[in-house]
Amino acid sequence: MNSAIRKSNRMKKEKKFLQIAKEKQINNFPLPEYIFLKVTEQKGFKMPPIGSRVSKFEEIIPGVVSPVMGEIKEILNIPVDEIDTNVIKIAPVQEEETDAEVPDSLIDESTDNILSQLKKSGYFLEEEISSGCDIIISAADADPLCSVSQQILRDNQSSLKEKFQLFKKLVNRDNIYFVVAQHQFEQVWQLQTSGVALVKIPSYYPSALPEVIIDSLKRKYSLKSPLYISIEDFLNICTIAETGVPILDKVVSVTDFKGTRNLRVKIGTPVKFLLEESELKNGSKVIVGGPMRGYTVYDTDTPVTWNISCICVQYKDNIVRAVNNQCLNCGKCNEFCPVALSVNMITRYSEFSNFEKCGELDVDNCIECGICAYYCPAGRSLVQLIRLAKSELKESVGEKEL
Amino acid sequence: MKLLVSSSPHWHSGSSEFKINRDFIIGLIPAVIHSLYFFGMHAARVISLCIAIAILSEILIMKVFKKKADPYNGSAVYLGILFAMLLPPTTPYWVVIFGIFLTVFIGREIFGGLGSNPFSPVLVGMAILELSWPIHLNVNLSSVNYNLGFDCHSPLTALKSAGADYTSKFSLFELGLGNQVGGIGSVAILFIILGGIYLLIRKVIRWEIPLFFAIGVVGMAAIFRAIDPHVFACPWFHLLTGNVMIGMFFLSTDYSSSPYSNPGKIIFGLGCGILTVLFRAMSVHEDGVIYAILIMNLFTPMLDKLVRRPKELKLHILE
Repeated sequence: MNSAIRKSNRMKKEKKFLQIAKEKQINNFPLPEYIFLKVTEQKGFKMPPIGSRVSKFEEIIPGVVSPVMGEIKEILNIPVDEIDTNVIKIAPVQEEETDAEVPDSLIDESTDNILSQLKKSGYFLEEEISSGCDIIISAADADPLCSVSQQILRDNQSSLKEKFQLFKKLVNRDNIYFVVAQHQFEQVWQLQTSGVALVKIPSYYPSALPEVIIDSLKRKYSLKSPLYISIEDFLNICTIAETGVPILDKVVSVTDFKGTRNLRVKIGTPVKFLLEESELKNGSKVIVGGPMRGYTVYDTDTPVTWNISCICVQYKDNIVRAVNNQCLNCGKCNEFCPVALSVNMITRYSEFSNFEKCGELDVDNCIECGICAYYCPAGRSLVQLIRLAKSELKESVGEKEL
Repeated sequence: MKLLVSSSPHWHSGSSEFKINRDFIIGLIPAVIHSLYFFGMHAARVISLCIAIAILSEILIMKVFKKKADPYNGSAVYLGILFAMLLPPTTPYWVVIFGIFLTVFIGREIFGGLGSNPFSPVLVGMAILELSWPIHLNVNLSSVNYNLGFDCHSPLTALKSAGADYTSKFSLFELGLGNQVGGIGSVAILFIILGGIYLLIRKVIRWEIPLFFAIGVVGMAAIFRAIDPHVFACPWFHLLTGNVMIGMFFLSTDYSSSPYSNPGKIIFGLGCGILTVLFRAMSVHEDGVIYAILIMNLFTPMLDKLVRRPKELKLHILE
């Protein structure tokens, strides 16, 4: 009874904030028409000839592993993660049923072997493992509307204990912090005895941002430069170490602000194919990386990379217009700001080019979570004004040093 | 296909100036009903005149200032209704027109419009009217031709002229129900509290200013009462008379003229309450709420400097 009341009170209190998304089932996405593989290293390596065949998990050039069997179509230059990058376009072909050799478990092999295998999947852990830093594993998604980590936690809650033992053996580390959102905390209750420090965070928006988690844990447990990985990466690392097979799948949330689908896609799948169900029109917005901190793309050919876990479509009538309304001084931005900035004063100073005053008000502490602009009743472009102040301040500091 | 690009954030809660002003207007509706019940068409005349002139003068001033007028955001309507609540029912139409024009012009637009006014605009208009034509705003004179069913003697005038002992004939219960003379809506204590609670629930205003306003009034009045109970009225009497309630919930919580920091809000509310009682007890004015809030508005920029700026995250995500 008592706990029920407390729970409902807590829910009411949290309703005030932007809730992070609840779990949603993950479906496998079928093979797309073509995929784009980012070329990370070019110097001294020959590009493969166009038209040549690649097999699954073949290292085309060092650091680039094909997630599918297919044919190299062409080499293009398209924006990937907001940067123009050379990519290899591969058209997958349906795999023949072969008796693929099952690689042996890598668990008993040397760490170097495992690390080289991890590299194939894009995990570069050598430095972190040798430096002996603390490890934070987060099972909460930074952006609201994205439910990838939450669902992965739910799917794997029974096997987490063994995975942690394996991971500890792999990285040779005892101090591992496992961050779970409050609404999922009961799912990991049994982990308390497994020697992992469980950290409970509230289920509303800015609390699951990596910056916030790292900063809070640093202060509470006095950690030094911890390594932050998501639960998806953690499980991938464990699976690779167990089976020796690289993992080139990524789970992404695809949402149009109303319904969400969680899809397991091959790395390099163009966003275009994931958005086939939504009706994109002129003037729609495709946001990669969540509605609060993501960036928009002008070309839906941009591929899914390891950094992307949420893709949003915003239709014309829901788009937030940038307007230059006057501040009402209502104080909502200050009330919700996670770093307790005087957002109203900073943005007004920034609006009238008084950037030094912004510096006095610690504008550099801003983590650009966007919660101020979310709540602003005047609809001011608060985050943009803060970014302007930050960059102007940086420039003026640079000038002074010169 | 052309896609739109912009920088983050891409999401908005949907709150707007219009929604905030709508909530403020809804908060005043109980008081409007009270005024219409007691004064009928006379109250309707004052209220509709105020709303109409507020909108017209905003459009006119914006034309002169060559800015884009937005009468649909509801702020002019809210100003009109709030101003009307403070006026007696028999106020001549030209006083009403002049007052609401000054409210919009001197109170707000001259400083740069919504969000830029250093004083609560309604109070600026009201203070000018009270100092210029006190005879037209005299609440006792205005009620002589009405049969309201209760003693048409302003409790604050009674306190000022006859002392605290005389005020014992006003029962606190009757005062709380709004059975007293004053502005058409500002004396509807119960209804204004209802509206204020609505604003608090909707989180349009924060609780600090109203609560500490009340604490200031009650605390200061209690000190005076302890000095001489024959001269100074009891604290609850002060709380339930005149413009204190409407001042607590609607006048002092005006966004741009009140502090945004929490410690600032507390001092602001306390100051308003203390000054109100000081004005009532020590000055020639019967009701000091208007001047008390205006004076505290002057301190707002200073109080905003009291905001605490922690060097670390405010969001306590860990227990």
